[in-house]
Amino acid sequence: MRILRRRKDQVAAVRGSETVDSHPQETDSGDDRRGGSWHFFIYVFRRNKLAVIGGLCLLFIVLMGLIGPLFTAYSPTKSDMKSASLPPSATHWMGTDAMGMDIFTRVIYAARIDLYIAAIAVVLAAVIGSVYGAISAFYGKVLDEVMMRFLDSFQAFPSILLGLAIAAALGPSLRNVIIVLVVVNVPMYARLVRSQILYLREAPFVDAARMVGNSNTRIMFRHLLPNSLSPVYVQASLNVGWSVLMAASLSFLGLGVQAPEPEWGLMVSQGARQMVVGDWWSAFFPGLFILLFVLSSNLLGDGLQDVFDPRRR
Amino acid sequence: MNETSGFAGQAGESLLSIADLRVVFQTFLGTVHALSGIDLDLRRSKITGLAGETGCGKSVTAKAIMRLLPHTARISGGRVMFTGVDLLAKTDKEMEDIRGKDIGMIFQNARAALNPLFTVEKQLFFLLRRHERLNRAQARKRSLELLEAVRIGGARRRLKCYPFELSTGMCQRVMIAMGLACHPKLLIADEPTTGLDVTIQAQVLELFKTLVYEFGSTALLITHDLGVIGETCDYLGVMYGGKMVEFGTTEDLIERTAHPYTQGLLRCSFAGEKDDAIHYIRGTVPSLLSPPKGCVFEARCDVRGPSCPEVGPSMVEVAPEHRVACFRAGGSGTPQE
Amino acid sequence: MKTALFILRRLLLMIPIVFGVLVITFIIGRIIPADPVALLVGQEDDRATVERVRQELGLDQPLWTQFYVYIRNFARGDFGMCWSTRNPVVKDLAVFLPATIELVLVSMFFCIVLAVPLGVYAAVRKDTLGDHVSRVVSLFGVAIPSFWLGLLLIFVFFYLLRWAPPPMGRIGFRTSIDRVTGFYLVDSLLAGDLKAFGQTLSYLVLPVAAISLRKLAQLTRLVRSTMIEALSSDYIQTARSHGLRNRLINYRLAFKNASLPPITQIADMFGDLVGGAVVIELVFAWPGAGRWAVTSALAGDFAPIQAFAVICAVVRVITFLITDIMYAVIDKRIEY
Repeated sequence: MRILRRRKDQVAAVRGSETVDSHPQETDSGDDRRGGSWHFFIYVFRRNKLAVIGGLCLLFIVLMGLIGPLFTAYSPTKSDMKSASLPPSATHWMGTDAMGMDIFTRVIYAARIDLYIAAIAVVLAAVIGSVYGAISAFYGKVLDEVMMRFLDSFQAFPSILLGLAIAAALGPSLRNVIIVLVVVNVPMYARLVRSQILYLREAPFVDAARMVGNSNTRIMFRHLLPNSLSPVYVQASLNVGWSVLMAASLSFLGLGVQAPEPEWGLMVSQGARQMVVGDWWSAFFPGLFILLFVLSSNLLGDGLQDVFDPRRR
Repeated sequence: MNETSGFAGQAGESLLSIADLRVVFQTFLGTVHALSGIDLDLRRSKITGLAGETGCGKSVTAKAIMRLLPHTARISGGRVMFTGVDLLAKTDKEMEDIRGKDIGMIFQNARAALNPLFTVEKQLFFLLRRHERLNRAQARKRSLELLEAVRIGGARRRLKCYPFELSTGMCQRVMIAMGLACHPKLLIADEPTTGLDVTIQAQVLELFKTLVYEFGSTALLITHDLGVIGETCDYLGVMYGGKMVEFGTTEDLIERTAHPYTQGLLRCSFAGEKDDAIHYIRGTVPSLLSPPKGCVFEARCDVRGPSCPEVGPSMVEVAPEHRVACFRAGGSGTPQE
Repeated sequence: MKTALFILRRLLLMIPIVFGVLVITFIIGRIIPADPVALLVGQEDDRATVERVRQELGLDQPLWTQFYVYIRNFARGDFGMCWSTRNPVVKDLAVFLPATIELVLVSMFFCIVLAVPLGVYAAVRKDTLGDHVSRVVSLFGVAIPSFWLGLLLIFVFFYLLRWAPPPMGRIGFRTSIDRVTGFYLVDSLLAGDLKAFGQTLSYLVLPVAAISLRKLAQLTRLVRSTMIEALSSDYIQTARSHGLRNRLINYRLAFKNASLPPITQIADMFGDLVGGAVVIELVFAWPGAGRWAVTSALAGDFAPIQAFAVICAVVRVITFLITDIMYAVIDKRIEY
């Protein structure tokens, strides 16, 4: 009897004093996914070290472009025939090219130009493409069909050929390279946003918005479009690298940025003649930076994809 | 043999005997102890159920028997004795011979578990060719018999179907047909009725029971639905947090429940007439990253004692064929010191 | 019957797309600031000649008429004149196109034959050293600019090691092959000239490597990831529970399930490889349609690149059609 009562008291005491959360066994231990953005960052980093490395490398190149010129005394565009084709040394870290210009300096200045091109092109393409895709998806089947077929026609061309044709028609210049990149990149964003919107269109929150009296345009731009943007961010980060590659290819062929402006692809083509006779540095370093840039942007983009799409985790 | 394994004697009565099985998973958050020493005996020609919450380790047990665990898992201890041989000591190639032939398995969500790019006939053919070396014609004949045994009408037509052309119930029947195709000694069913409509659930269970008895197989039925267990199983094991907490005949576990967790489970599932409130067991499952030192259920237990957080209880027999891992256990919840 | 209707529907869908392609090239062609007349006539332009030439070219007509003429000519196979070579574009294409196609086809073959086994191997032996190596190579391969790679290959294998032939075209100066098809590999075999065949191959090695690396990396990555996905699927688990042998599971079951996305990429390969070929042709002085189109464009002559772009686009559309058909044949879930 006495034993029974003691047991009941104990149970009552224990029951009364504890709550669900305070007991150490009741909470998830070691779960980094909660607990603030710092923990989230640690979690992402452990899952995806490569992506963070990519991001840092990208940041480094951006910084290099921004403040790099402070670290070099040479001019990127003034030729100095006395120092033509010097191999890498203490005074010229990456050597000089056939016109005597310091390659390291030119690589830094070229970073600015390439980043500028890529950033503007990707942002413009993303904006235009998203709106295009959104309109196509939302305003009816006929319009959708027509707009998509038109995109199909654009995408039927291999991108470089389309880029070449437009660049050839407009004339080689930095501005035209951006135009080319925008035209070539828009279809991808349009499709991405379109499929997101087609999917979200059926969601309950759209019906709710309509019932409250929102007009179609408002629903589109205030509700649907913002919610469709996460694949766009991922795609944009992957796209930046690809855009630099394309801009460099165009400039390499002579249809992009023109001399004496430094651009990585252009520098490779200028250095190509040297390379065949053994002076490898003028073509090597600019190309190396293209590689690093594209690689980092890909790593970052892949990492973002992991973050945004939990199924891939 | 220590005191906790085997039913006081006849090892011959058990087709499968698991002793102190331990499984760990390596994740980037740390080591997860999925199974911390399980004992389980499957009596010949009987259906044994394995119940417990999600994450308690029931599926891991099944996959460990079949050696189908993912690469991140490691069996860190124990023995799985099947007809006298330790499955854990077998090589991968030897296991390939056993799977499908001596031990069959059927899975949850049958439609996803069947290959969408191959017809039913083709998938059965791969199986039959592998273990019984049947050619196309022989396999077709046998497949027809199997489909008829699982009561699929129009079997001839169904053979040529792809899984997406079949209903969920039919997919599950095909799964069962595949599991039993080579007359295995043991059939493991991992949540075969979860997600099915109640009516289909009943049909599939009925079929399962009938066929297991007809084929003379032993079965291990894994589920979190106690109703399913009540209908189908002769024996029942209850798992929690990677450990076996109670084991015995179904009747024993329902009428003379000994473990507080089992009691809680039953109360959650079967509300008595007088109860208005829905019963629940307060608290959450402990993290398997750092399993508790003492009893695994202790934090949520209503009858815990002072020694419960310190020492983990081992399975002791409270009645013939009825074992519990609890210091406080006894019939009808009477505490024992 | 269903299949036939499906194919017919897809074929009909091609028509508006091809039309769009023509519209696009026409529009681009008309933005050209460079005056083709000036190219033809030269510096001494007297009014009358200029007007006459302009009329000849049909440039004085309204835009719609010009477009109609443009389409009509294309249908007839008249792609205009290439002013730098003074040949009809069609004639130049017949000379230069086979060189490009040979390059692209060999690259495609190389890509597929390497990427599929590599990807499957990497997936089956996931997380082993081989897998990690292939992943690293893939990451770099996708990021390397092909023109830079081409130059590096030339520097290492020609300049330093003297293993590869000089980057000056398709075969050495002193070798000649009777042109039958324009594909030197084929022609040299037809003539029974094994030495020429060998030489053609040696000239192909570096350009093909430079073109293919990117696509090879992409395809390997894709094959690997689809294989991994298939291998970790429920139905493969079922297959394992049936005791089916690993070889069957890996190379027949999972492979079939994993093959669909790579097929799309393979079909699309042509488009990407042609783009790569254009650049590489310039690096290696390869006498192909790409180099011809680019050098003409740089000189202000637009017809070659226009024709080349249209041809590539049409071929690409056809490959899309073929892919759709193959996809539907393999995965019966796809509705016609």
